[in-house]
Amino acid sequence: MNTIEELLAANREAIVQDWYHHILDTYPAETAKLWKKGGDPFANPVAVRSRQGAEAVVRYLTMAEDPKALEAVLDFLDEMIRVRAVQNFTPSQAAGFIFLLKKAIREKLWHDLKRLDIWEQFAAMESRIDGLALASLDLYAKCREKLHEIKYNDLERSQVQLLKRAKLIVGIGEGESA
Amino acid sequence: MAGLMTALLAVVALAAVAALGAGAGMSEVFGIAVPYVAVAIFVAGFIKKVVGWASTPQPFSIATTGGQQYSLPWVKQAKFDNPSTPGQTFIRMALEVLCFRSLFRNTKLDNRVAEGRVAYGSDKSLWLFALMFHYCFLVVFIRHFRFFLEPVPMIITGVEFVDSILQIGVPTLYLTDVFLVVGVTFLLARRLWDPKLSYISLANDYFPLFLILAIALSGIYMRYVAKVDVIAIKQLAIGLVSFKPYIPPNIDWSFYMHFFLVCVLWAYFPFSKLMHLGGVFLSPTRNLPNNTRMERYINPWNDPSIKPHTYEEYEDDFREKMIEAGLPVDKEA
Amino acid sequence: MSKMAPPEELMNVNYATPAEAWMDVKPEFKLGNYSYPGKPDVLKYLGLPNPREWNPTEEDWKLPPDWRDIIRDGFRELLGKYRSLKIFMDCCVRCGACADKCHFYIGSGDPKNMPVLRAELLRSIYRGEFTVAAKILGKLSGSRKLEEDVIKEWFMYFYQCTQCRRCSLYCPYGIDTAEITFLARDLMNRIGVNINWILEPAANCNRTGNHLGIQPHAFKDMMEFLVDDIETITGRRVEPSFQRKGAEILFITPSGDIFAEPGIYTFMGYLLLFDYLDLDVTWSTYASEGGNFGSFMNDKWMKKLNAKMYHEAKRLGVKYIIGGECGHMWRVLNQYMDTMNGPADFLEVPKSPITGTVFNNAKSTKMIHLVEFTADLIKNGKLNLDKSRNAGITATWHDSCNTSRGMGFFEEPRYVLENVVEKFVDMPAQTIREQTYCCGGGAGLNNGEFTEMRLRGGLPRGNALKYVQEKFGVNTMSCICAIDRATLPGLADYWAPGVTVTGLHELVGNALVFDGEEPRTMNLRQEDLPGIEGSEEEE
Repeated sequence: MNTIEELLAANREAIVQDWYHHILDTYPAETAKLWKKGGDPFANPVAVRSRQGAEAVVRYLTMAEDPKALEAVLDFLDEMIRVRAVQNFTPSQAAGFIFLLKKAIREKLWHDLKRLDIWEQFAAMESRIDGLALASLDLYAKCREKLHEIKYNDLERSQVQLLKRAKLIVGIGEGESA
Repeated sequence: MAGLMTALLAVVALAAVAALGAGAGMSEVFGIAVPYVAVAIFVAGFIKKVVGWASTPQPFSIATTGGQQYSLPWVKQAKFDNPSTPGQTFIRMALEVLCFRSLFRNTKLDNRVAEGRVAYGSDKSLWLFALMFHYCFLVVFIRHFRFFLEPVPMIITGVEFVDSILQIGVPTLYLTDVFLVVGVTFLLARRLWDPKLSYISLANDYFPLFLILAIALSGIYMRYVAKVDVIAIKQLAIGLVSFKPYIPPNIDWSFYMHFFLVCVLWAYFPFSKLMHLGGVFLSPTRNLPNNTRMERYINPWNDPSIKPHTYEEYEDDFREKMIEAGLPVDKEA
Repeated sequence: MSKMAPPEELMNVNYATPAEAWMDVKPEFKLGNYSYPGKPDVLKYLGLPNPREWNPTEEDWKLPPDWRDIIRDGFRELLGKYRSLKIFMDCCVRCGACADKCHFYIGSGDPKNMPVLRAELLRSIYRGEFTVAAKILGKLSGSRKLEEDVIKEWFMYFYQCTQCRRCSLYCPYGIDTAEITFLARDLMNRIGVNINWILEPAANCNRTGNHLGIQPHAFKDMMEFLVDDIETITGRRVEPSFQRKGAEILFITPSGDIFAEPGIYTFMGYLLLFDYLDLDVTWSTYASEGGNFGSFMNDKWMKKLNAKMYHEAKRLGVKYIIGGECGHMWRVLNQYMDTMNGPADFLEVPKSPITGTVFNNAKSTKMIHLVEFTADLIKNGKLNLDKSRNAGITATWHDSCNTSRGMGFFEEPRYVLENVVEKFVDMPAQTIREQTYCCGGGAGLNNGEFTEMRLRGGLPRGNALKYVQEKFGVNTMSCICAIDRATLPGLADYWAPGVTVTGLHELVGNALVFDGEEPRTMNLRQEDLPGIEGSEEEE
């Protein structure tokens, strides 16, 4: 075991577990304890999504860079952020959970990193995580845009006939083509 | 946590009071005065509460429907989850009261990833242990009638016989003693370890559990460890129910402790959530049929003076516009 | 390691914070988690007390000086009028069976969204004010004093409950949070703490007959737009009538169906069906709202708004009433209407003029659900339906809370749906039928400012939807509730993008084949039918 990827792979489950718990700790304490028990994806979707997301991200980091794998992992991140984007969090809290992975990794691997003296690799790994964090920010912004789009669409849908009547509009396509 | 500690300390203190007090020559108080007062409080309190509920009108028929309604003849009705007749409602209530039907619903999805499918397991632990606890409590309660009745009716000896059928130890072990303790311990344990429960639990959730546990344990101690003088206790019990109270000598302190805690339970009962014993029968979401489109349900305080904004008022408001739009009107402008 | 800034510091995550007891946590009002308060003009129109401008995010809520007495007296009054309230206040054992059953709790993780705690918000005051035991034990018994913060908490959490009754199903004593929420809102209304999106629609329904306040002539215009659209699509000119005396049937549906998408397509479905059957049916602009916004306020306004239906039926001299696809409307029609405004002895027991079926299950209210009526038609082979008109649709069924747990309406709509679409799959068993998850918009929470919270509460439903979308290719979710039709499109767009929301009679309208009709090239949304090329001009 000489590379950080190998170290990460060897400690994958423990790191996923730690990170997952750190993520759930961003919720009210009692809820965090309850949700940590995980379980049913339909009765407890937040925990299940967080868990699956955490697993996918860590697995991704154990592998070399690969655009395809990145795309897949972003889908998982999207699932997590979609939930957090509407949960009363500030943007940093909603999208910043990815930094908690750094905490999990540092806590778990610090001694090994010291022993093997692979700080360059560690810095590279953290940069990859930073990259994911930036991507998370994009995803968060997209979710919030979606939220506002939904608000706008709801408003329009809720009175579509009224608008039609108020403006006495004629739909393009109803008459002769230009 | 404050609630938990308070409840625990309260039960310990109550037990100590009885144990010490009886030892200090206050057996008349704990053997005669307290039980009469406690039972009086229980009876009066229970009746007051139930009468209070029953005398309050239930204005609307608001069954929570748990299955297909009575509908067209070819649609199969879920008769006992969505009853439409009094008979079906009776069965729904029986299932609720005797089998804890609603708790049984607590299904939980069991995601069997390895088998590549989603299956339905269930989270029935609360249902199972609650059922165990309540039925054991009932059997223990019935068994105790042998202390108050002479001769002991067949039914009670029958219950005792079945309960001690395994013939373990001398005196023979009652199964319900064991299961009662197991049940109450489970109910207590989940309050302590299930985070959502410890969050919502109050002192008055812990107190009855500790109290019942203390009653069960003191009873078990009396029977299996202290091996108290049962004949003497029966004399005391018969004395109480025949209103010729008598305190036989040589009754162990543990009896007074057990008996006092039971008295506390009687007296506490009507003022606590234990009244769910009575409330479950009166719960309007369960004890009413879903037949409200077939039979008119009467609300005694229905206010006939509440009238709609009438059509006439509406037409007065909009008549001209209605006429212009070609909508029919009752009065021309 | 110590030199690196720990990330949780930046995020303000504090692991060491000890959990506070719930009574010590104050509600925090943020845009998106509360609804705007009632406007003074609306309160004045409704005759509600304490009309004023106020803002939940500000410290001073401008309560009347004697608000404590008003709440206490009101609480006492309700305890005397509702056995349900007394029992529900006394019997909870806090077993926790309900705790994780609420969609708002599942989506938000806020412990006060657990139904048991939601009810404790009221119960703690009940204990403190009305029970002996609590007076001795104080806070230990879970009682507390009536303070302004308590009212703020009530406002937050009783307006974060959609009265969907899912928790009530699992409660061993049948404790119904919908009832508790209903009565808590009644109390709050007495001191002027309420939300505008309930009051203004209620006021509009009272005056104009629909929740947006559309005047009768405009209502008729909108119906005509839809009639025009039907002609464009089918080549038929349907001729609905208004306030026609002597008609056999009065039809009432939620007014959202006439002006909101996708309700308007369902509305077109109704019109097509009635035309197909040549049904002697009439509409009313006066009683044009099925939904009952009063049922989110108090029993008085629930009764007053509901009374319009029988009032109009009597005036027009119809034989019976058919109600359209709606949720709360049917809770009220099934469990309250006859009690409040019956007996409807001027009407007749509903009998389908087409099949002769007598609807004995509505022999007292004399009001049947359109889906019952349609299911009976299909069962008797009276409708010529072509499923291929809905080809390309893989449908799933969203059971609306109120028709599910306040009525038990499961098989009829599924039967109709299976007869109009080629593919139908149910969502996982614990998310449908009596265990169905709410859309998050019920009981007056379907307003714009509440969208974020509503999406949070919509997670369990969205999650189940996404599952069948990915697993079975579901692309359409059908439902029989106007609030669903307003809420679910946004929910689907967020949690399961690509799923379309339809009413049931939209699909019926699509599938209905008229004798000698011109072949249809588009569905009621004016989208090309699969397998049919775009119009010729484009070639």
